[in-house]
Amino acid sequence: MVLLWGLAEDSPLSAVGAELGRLQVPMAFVDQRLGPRYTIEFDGAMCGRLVGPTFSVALDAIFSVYARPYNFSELDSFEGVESSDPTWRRMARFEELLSGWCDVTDALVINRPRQMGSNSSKPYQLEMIREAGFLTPNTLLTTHPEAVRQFVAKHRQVIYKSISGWRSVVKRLGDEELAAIDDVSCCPTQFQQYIEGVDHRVHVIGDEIHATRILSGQDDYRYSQDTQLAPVTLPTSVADRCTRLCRALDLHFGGIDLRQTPAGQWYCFEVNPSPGFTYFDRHTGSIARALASSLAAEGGRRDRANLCGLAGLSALK
Amino acid sequence: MLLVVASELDVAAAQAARIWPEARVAVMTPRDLCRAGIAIVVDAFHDGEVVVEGKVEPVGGIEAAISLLRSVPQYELWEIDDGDRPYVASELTAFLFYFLSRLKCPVLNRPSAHLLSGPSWGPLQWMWACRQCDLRTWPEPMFQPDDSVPEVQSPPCGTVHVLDGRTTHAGRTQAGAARYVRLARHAGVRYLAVQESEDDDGCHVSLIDTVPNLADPCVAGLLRNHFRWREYGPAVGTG
Repeated sequence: MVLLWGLAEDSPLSAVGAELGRLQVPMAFVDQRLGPRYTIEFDGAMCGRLVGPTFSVALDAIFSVYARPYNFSELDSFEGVESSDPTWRRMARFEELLSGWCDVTDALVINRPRQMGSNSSKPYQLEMIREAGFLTPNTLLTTHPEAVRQFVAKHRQVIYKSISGWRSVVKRLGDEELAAIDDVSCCPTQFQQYIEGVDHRVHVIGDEIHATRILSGQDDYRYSQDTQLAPVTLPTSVADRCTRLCRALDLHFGGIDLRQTPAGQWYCFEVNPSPGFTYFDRHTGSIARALASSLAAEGGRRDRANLCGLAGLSALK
Repeated sequence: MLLVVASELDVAAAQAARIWPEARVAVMTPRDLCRAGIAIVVDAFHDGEVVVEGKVEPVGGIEAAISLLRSVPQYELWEIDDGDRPYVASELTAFLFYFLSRLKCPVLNRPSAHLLSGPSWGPLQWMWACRQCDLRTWPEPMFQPDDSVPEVQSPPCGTVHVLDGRTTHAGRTQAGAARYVRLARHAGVRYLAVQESEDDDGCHVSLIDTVPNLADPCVAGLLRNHFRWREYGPAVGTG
């Protein structure tokens, strides 16, 4: 059985659920809006049952998980609910246990909570990206206004963004921002050399590559009205680096942001461990299907492993 | 310099310089991270500079580091506007995660994404880790929607501290020191505090912490002996 965890209106989750339905793969859905109505029971060996309003499933019957939980305290149903409220505490406890189980189970989990943290610090992840063999923009972390001025003098075109996973619009550092640059002393900020080129978003699922070229007039295509997407085949060396990077981050599924310069160099900016891929899938049409196949295949792999084990036992007899 | 990353309210951290005169202790607080002076170019990390006790210091001058902070708390950002504190706290925690991960010198303990000293594991991950190390733990959590099953807590009967492969004492479980050392290695940490509790079936692990508490004289003494490199040379492991 495949376990889906998140919100019904989450596009990636519902897209994968639809594909699993087409493949007729048994699945269970933990809907965060019904959170307090779920229970999880352990029988003393990290096995047990997950029970919801519409299902009861043995934990070891779950062979793969697609987890996209949101911060439950931000759901409408928890608006105004204090953390001391019994309902809030039950929800927090349930999610802590389910998240913990996702970290330790030998089921395929896309992606394990412990692996989701690398992009909570962009410079931390940038180091891992460099180790995978990608070029990365020259990057400055600073609270020093003069360091920013020197960086701008060196690179001329500079962008700035948040250091943490807090969503921020990537902006070019203009005259207006430079005039107020003394404010940088209040909080370390990440400045990067601007890299000219064409954006690509690469979704990696295991060893599979799904690449999309993005043409946009804005520095941050996510907030542009004129963005155009097209599926593309990456050079083998770049595709290999992408799979190597996801493997290094222990991500079965990752969304990688690349930019190809006019000179043909490939820069990598970020890896998203829980990419919202449906925006791209409208043009590639393959990601949800590939994810569902990957989740479903884990069941077949386990069955074959069990059969081999049984065959081994027969041979011994 | 032995860098201690701590809250401005942590009296024990502030007193560390007095109790460790030989260690040249300097305390970096969240306030330091909101001062002009930090400048780190990512591919020249050790040539960078940070602010410690209000002064600009070279990253390369840090010989060892300890984090006593789990994350940067919003309440400590008193010079930041209320509305900006959640964002700034997130940014400072992310910066420290990177900074403490990147230092080449010994760090106790290396951070993870959601905990600045050790892995950000919940009870279930720790229970699983204890199982891998043949340690008996508290009963597995059973979650009931109506909370009708009360949590039974056994009284604690002592704490064992693990530091770089050694323990303060063997503890009261039959497992002994070796399994606690194994647990620390499994968690990828150099320092671990394991609280033991007793029930009808004997002793078991009831609480685990990877963030040192300098207010505990046992911990302060343990770390002081460990970081006496002025006398014995850098007697600290890599990590």
